[in-house]
Amino acid sequence: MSEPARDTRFLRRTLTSLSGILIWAAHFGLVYGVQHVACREGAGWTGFVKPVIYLATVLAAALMGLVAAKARSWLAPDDPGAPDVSIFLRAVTHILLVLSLFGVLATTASAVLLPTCGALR
Amino acid sequence: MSEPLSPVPRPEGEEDELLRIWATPKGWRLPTAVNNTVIGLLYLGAAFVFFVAAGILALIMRTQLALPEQELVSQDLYNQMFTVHGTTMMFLFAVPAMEALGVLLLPQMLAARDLPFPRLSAFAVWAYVVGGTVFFLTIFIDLAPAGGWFMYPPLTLMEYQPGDNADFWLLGIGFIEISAIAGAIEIIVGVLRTRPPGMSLDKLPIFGWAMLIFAGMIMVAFPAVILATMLLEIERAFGWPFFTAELGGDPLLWQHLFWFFGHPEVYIIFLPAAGLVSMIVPTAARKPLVGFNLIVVALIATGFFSFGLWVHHMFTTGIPGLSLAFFSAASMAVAIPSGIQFFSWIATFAASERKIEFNTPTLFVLGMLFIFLIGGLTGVMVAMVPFNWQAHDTYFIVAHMHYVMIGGMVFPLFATFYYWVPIVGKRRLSERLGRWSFWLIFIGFNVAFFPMHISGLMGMPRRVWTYPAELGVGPFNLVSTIGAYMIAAGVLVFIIDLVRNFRVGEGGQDNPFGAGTLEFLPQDVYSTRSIPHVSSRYPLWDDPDLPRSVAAGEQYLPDAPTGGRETIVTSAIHAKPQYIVQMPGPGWTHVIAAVFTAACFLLLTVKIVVPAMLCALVAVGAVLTWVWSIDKGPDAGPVSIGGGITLPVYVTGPISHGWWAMMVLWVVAGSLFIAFVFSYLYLWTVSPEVWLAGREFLPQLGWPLGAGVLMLGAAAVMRLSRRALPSPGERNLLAPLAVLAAASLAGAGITAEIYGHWTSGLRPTASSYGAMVYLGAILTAQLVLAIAIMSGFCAARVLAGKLDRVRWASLENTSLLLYYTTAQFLIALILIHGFPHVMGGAP
Repeated sequence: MSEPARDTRFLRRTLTSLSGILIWAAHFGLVYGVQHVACREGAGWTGFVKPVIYLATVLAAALMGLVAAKARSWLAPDDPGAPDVSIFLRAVTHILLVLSLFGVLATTASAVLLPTCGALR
Repeated sequence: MSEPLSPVPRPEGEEDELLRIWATPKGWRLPTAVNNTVIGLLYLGAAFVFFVAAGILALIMRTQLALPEQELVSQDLYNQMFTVHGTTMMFLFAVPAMEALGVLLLPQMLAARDLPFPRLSAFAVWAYVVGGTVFFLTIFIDLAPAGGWFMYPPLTLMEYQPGDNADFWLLGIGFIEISAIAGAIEIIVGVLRTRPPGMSLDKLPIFGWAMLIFAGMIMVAFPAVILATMLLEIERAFGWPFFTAELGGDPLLWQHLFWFFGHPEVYIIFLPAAGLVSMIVPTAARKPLVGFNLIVVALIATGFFSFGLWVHHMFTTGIPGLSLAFFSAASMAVAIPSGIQFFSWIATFAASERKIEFNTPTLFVLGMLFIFLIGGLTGVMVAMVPFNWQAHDTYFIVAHMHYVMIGGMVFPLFATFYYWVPIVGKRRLSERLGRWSFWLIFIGFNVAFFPMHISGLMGMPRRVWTYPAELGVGPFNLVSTIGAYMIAAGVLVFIIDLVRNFRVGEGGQDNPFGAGTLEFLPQDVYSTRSIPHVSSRYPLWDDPDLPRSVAAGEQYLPDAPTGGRETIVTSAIHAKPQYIVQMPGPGWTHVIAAVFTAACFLLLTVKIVVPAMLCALVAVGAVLTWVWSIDKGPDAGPVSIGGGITLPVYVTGPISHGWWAMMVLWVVAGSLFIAFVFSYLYLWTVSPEVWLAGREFLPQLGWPLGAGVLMLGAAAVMRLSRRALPSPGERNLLAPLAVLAAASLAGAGITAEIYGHWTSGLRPTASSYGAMVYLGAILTAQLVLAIAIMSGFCAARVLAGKLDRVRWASLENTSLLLYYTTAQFLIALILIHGFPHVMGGAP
């Protein structure tokens, strides 16, 4: 009996495939958290909110671009003769990146259009 | 033509041996059964009974509302009815029904003999049946909660809702959620690790993907509401002011936690149903699903985006406009993946090269497309803040959520009944009755709920017992009531169909709809005769000889080499065979554990503490007895499974399914802890002055340092205890002592943390700050208690010669839990003792 077959790089493959949506989640949590705390703290803090959101957006987009560029090598198949899973994971990764980028930009658009802390009337 | 992987003909008596091993207990021993088909049917049947019961409550409510100013039921009873209706439909019907389908269908779709933790599934089901039944019965004895299915404080605080009614909701639902989490662990490990060889992730049926995302969402979403119910119950029972504004609490914290669960809950219900639809549509169209990869992406994206929508339910609470816009944007983003699924289903139908047969499953799927589409569109409407303000808390929302829930979940469920009954029943359900049922439900639904959009826009508020005739909504309500009775008639026709035609057992046509997936292989109590090698998404279409080959025992594992219940465990991504998991058979322990766990919670609800503790002891004893026999060791292996593959029957470490289950448990515990951290920081932002005042109660640095060192010491000793384990066949005292020492150090660590705060004068009832500090310790203390029990168990196994250097899964699991607990405790120490120093401001 040989050693049981293993899935190498399971964590890396999973994180790479989900990276777009994870970046969206981190961006969403950051901008909502920063805005919530700043608006509670008051005037001295609110000026930082929009720059932080824009910076977070640039960072998120850059990270997504990096993943898109590196996905092929990060998801390379163990067995070059059986590439189906890698092709599938690459497709999932790229489509999720596009969807997530839309989510990030939609969140940022809110910051462009609305005041930082005011309630709607 | 399938290549034989196992030699044929198979030996005489081999199938009889499988039938004997997997036989379902009969008569009074039936509750001991753990086979997924029995447990899945019990689960699904119980969920359907709750659906009917909650539906009857809805009929009574609709009758009350049929005409203005009626007094068929009292106002208080009406409040209890809508609370129990909503709670039952969400917690006792929708989520359990989907988990039930996972338990029932996944092993069949994966051609596994069973899911990897069959007794855990059985425990979850019995706990749910007992707890759910008692909860529902409270409506008959005036003990049902009356605060709406989302139980907002301050309405549900003790001063506004005295008595035990709200506690039944809090403890009952919290308990049922734990049962749901147990089921979700089973589903995640089952989908990732018990797929047939060759079924890599790109070939996993869409329902498997949907259940994977569903269970993952439960892991993250349910802990938030478990924490919320803990907070509210602790405030009601002991007066810790999490939600009391004058002591630094905030009722909106409940809404944040509840809706962080509550909005994903909609998708938790919808995604598996969408997965079911994605299985039925290709069969109806005789075409592979168009855009398989896109559907997978849509499921994942919907799962994630749905966690960015919770404030969608809080648009009228005075939150700043920009915050609302963030959530409004996410609400629109989630419409995209939902739309992807719709277009994929339509495209698959359109790609069909033959006339589509409008049989009952297809009709229910088409009904779902129509109804869920309307619910989705009104969902986009209410995601717009200005419109939401107008429609909030009106019947427009009632209409919207029923279009989403019934369209998104109930219609696919009925399609499922008609489509998958042949794999567990002796014959199909009646097409004629099925069509009657569909048209009655479909027309009745639209008659009942479409007018509610109008009555809502005319100003009829939700959750009203009656309404004045002058409001002008009487005719709409009368029409809605007529529609509700039409739905009931449709459900009644379905029940008649069940009674007439549904008989559990073998003998029916294996694949009456001509489906392409594995659940329509020939089945018996052992699942499939042999486990096929899979090389495509629709193996029954691509290899028409496969059913014969599987039934002839030509594929993997046609026998029972360990002499007991077992299935193949494969790798998570590529589905390469890794080992044989030996699974437990029927027994009473999980039933006793479930019944006494439910009894403990219910007795606590009515404040009968000592009997509740006794029940807890019995439940823990039953669980320990149950797990004592699970770790069977490596003696029966290695074994040949066919195809020249020989596998071990016992493994530990990252390859084992137990290790994976512990990782999933880490995620659950981590989600609970993150919800706590969120709550702590949220209340700080609400009442910073309370946090500043709390600074003076911070213990000396020695207390947290000492507590942290003790916990780290516990982890280190636990790690060393593995080295002290005896060789196989031997016993020693050193290992048990080391394990118990580790548990004692962990206990000392958490005690030091609590005692440090107590001696500094901090009291949990004095302010929300004190309450949060002690809650942080409680969250770790409950893990330490579990570790103490598990350590005692491990010590006993070493002394009994059942835990050694090779057979050490029990200790591995205990160690993994302790490592997680140590990490959580250290982060909590930094938060509790560090954050007040850096948050700024002067006391």
